[in-house]
Amino acid sequence: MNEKNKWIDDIIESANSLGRVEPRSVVFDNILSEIEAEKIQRIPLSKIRYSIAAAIIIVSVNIYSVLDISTNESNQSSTDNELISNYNIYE
Amino acid sequence: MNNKNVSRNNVFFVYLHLKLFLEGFLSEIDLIQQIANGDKRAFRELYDLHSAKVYNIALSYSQDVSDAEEITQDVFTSIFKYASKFKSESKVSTWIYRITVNTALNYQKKKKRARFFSLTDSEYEKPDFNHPGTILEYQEQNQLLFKAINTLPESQKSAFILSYIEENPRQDVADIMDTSLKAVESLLHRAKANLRKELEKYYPNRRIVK
Repeated sequence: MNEKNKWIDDIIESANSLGRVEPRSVVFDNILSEIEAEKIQRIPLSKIRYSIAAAIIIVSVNIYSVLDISTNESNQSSTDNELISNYNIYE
Repeated sequence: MNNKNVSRNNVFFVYLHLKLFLEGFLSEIDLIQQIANGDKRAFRELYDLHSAKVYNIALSYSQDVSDAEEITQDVFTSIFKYASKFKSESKVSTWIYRITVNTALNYQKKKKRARFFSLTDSEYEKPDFNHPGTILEYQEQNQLLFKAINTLPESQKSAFILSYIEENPRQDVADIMDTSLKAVESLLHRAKANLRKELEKYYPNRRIVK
């Protein structure tokens, strides 16, 4: 029993025996290139704002033109009906 | 007369230590402020100060050299990105090691998820970890220790790694884990008990040295 406890204690205490290790020097270079890559990928806020404004303008112009066409069509169809209602052109 | 000299010397040493501590504390905050402004030289200085500790913590969590390097990379990229958000409420080192612990835990979860979804690796078993800082004499003991650490719940694992492997003072561990000193002591007590239980399983297969 004592032998087992000692064996376990020795293993737990072996944590103190670990030496400190350093990362490879390439790690810092990788960090710098990752930071640069993220900088390139990151879209500035002003660009996002301009894109949103452009999208809103495009959508509203589209909505306006669709509405305009549909009102024109309904007006046109009513006049068509009037014209079509009378086929006796030579009377 | 002698007593007076001794007490004067003591006061001087306390003053000197306090001055050095405050200088260190302030200079690290300065470094963070410079990094927030995009200063890469300050970033290198901070890296030189903390990279070894960050790497060793990452190594204890991941138990893999290339994973530890990747975690170290992620930690320092986060430091550069979020330096402007650092609040001087805690020590810079506490902030850095807290990022390290969180990054290492998230990295492990991500890896576990990836393993779960990959069909080829479904029966993956991690090989015994040989810590690069191991002295040959303790190699087998360290291997068993890391194997047992892997079975601990997250918070017990963090408390054990930060206290016994990284040899941080208990209060620093509590600050890093954002918990109380009492909670850390209780976590360490439970971690040790669980490690003992786990190590007992390996006892019958131990290598007997004559």
